[in-house]
Amino acid sequence: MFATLYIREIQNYLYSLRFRISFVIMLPVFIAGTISYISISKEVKQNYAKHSRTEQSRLAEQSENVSAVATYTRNYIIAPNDISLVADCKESFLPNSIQYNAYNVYGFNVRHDSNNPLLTRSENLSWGFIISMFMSFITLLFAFDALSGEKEDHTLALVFSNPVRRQTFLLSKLASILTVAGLMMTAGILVSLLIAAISGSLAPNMSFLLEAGGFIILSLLFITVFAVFGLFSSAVTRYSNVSLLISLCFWLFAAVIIPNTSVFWAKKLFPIPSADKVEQLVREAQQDVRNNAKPNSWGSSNNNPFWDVHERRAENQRNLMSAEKMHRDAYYLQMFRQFENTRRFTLLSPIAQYDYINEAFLGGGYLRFRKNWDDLHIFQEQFLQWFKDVDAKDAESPHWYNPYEDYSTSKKPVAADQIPQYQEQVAPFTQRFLFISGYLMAMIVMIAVLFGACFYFFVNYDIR
Amino acid sequence: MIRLIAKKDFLLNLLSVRFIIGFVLCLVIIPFTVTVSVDDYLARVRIYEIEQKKADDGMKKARVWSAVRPVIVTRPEPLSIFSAGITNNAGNSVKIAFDACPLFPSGHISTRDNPLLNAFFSIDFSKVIAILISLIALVFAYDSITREREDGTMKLSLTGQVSRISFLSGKLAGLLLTLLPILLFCYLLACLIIVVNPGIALSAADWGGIALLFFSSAIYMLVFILLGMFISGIVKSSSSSIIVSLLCWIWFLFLTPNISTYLSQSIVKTPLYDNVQSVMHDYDKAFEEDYFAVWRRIRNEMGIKNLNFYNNRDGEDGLREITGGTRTAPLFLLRLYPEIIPLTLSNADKKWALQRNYLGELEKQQRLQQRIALLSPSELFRQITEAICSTGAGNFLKYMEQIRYYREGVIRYFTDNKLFASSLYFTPQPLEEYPAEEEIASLANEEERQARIAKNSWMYPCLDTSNVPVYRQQQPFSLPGALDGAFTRLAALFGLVVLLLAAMIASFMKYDVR
Repeated sequence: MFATLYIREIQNYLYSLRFRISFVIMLPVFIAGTISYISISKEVKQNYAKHSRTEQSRLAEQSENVSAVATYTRNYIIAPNDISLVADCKESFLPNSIQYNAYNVYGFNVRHDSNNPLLTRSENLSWGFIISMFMSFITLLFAFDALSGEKEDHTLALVFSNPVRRQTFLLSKLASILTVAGLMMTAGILVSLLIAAISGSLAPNMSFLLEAGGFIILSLLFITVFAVFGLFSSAVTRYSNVSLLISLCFWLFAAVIIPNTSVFWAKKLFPIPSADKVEQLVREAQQDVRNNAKPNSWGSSNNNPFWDVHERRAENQRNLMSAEKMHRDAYYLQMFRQFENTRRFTLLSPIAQYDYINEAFLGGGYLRFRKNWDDLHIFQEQFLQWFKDVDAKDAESPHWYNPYEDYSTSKKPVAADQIPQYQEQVAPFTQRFLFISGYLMAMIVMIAVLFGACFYFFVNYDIR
Repeated sequence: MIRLIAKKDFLLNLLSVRFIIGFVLCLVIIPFTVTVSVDDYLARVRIYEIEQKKADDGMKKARVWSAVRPVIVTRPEPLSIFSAGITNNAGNSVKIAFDACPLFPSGHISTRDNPLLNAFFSIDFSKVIAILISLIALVFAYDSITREREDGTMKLSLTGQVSRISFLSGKLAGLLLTLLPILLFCYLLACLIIVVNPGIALSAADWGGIALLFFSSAIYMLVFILLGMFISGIVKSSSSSIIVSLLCWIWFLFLTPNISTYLSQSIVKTPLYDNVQSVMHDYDKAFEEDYFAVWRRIRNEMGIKNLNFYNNRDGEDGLREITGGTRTAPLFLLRLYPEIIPLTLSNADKKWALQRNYLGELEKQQRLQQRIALLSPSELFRQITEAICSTGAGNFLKYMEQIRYYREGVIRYFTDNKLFASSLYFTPQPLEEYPAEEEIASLANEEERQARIAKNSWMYPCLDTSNVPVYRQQQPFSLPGALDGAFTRLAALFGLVVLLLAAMIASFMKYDVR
């Protein structure tokens, strides 16, 4: 009986106007997104390669003096993402540059040019965006009158005069909606893949195909939330226009209200001190260092590295750096916590859940930034150790480490290819899975609760 | 007859579930959004006040002209509560520098202390209105014709004395009667929240702006009502009509804006600013070499062996403040600056040529985005609200241009008053107070020597900077100005209304009532 109902429903959907129109809208969006992606990503990669070359030549210039290599503050720009066709994980809005040298990782910021400041903010037409905004809406449009429509047309009574169990009927509805929406989505993704493969911008290797496959499965789960909600609103109401309104409200809350009010909630629920206050603390701490500096400890002279003032000067500079680092690092931790808490709050919206799942699955976005941030701290320690080792070999150096100047450490040249380089590591799958499991759990719980409620209302519905 | 149909529709709508849900949606979302925007605005005003005070203090406390660099802090527009536009994309303060032209304001990027929060989007009143009002208009209008046909009431109406035009007019009037109060309610609610807030003072021009916003919103709403009625007039059933209407809605509101931006980014490509900066960095290095060449030449010409600065403060944009020591240093600098400043200014111009190209690409991209976005009435509405609230890219670019013009004025002031050639450019200590080398050498007593050369900045008065040109915004917010900026787009939106009206009448005239 399930098969009969399922096939009938699928036929209904495939011949319906809503399927045809949404298919006609969805396909060009996928195509436009892919073509734009191909052209943008090529340009972005070229720009980034140019930038890397300039950075390398800067480094080569500095290799004349190993202390300059150690004290030169570099700007690590997070490389353009290969998977931004699948989901860009808001990487252009998240911090994407980190400042560091051998002594410290100083801070991070959002590069102002990663988005044209003259344009209003918008999202890339990645698969993730199309599915989270458009497919979720379409799925609701498929589901909102699945039960209430039959109630209005009085066909429900006819169906149940046959030996059909209500569970079977409900499941066949859900399965058919998921099949149709899933087919549509997969068709869009396949077309997009095909265009990307033909243009040569994407090598469809095994790992990418696996990622695409995983993405489709996760997207199906996401669509299930909306299908189940549509059925739920359809089960609790008698008229399809009411169930439509309920569905629209749900979509508005999930897609517009909750994600777009996050900054407000972050400030109200998880406040952190303002940047001015932290600046003030840093200034005070540094003033303290200056006040407590040993007498005659600020002089400098390029001629004699062993001048004893340099030792005190180096100590002062190290103290200044630690005083700043202490407050800033604490502030960064507060920022991370505020951001993570706000994200947890937005988990109320399935669209946010889906975004975070994608991010963890693809290892992009905040997860990627945090991984780089933590790894750079480890790298910085290794870098400093390398510098100390090089410095130790130089008999002309007094080994008084100064994070900002080269007065009292080795000024010997070093081969450019000997200088340690930071390489980005992709987050291991175990770590990504750990992140996914939390969000996935939230999504599955949401589906279970909604489906349970839908089942309860539908089974108890008085058909007369 | 039109009145009768309108009244019937109005009363029916008033009692419907959709009216209640639409009303409740507005009641919940509008106050929330406005409160968030007001909060944001007040935070920006607070930052503006702090930074303005800092800028004023900086000007008042300067003792040398090389430290006089006016800072322009942007005062937030009260109307940005309604439409934030691109105000949060750039900072709010510009420091006038001689070694570079200002490209974008720096300072507090938006009011977010945590740059990670940048990942979250936020919406303002005009965006909420664009989303909610269009949705409500479509939800009310989608079945205005099909429902009558399905219920068989249309046959009854049209068999009587009612002409098709009166029937349509009645329907339209009924919808307007239902929806205009909702829109008005949204605006009143927003204004109420703003009025009861003591931190916000709206001028008469601002109120005019709000009235203009309301007028544009009403036209925008009319577009969607007519769209809904038009769709209702060309399809057979209400269920098809709502599906088509909602797909149009999501296309206009959520897909077109993103498609237009993404497409424009793929068609007009902008270079990475870091790459532009690296070329600028090369220019700066070349400048530095020239600078030291001049430095060495003058030193040789003056026969200075040891150039010592007794008290020396140096910093950005050629800031130097020296006091104490002998006369050699100030005499050297007095010759140095008149030669260095023209080099600095021409280096800034060279860098600006690069930046201007970059800005040109950004502008081209933005213009293309605006053009593609015209495919959607909601984007047209966004552009109108941005123009009315002066928060769009056009206003921003004009503002930056004024600032660059102002920078020229400041440079002119310095040149006209020969400030670069004055010793006050780098030292507050009068030149005659500096002892000559020979005089110091002739003093045998170390204490006497110290007393002669040990001078500090605080011993000297601050400069009188009251005559330095002050930046005045050339076009403060005015209603005619806002109307002028929004006029073409408003006319386009109105044209769309006429077009949809004609299409709706044409399709309904041929509508098969059976």
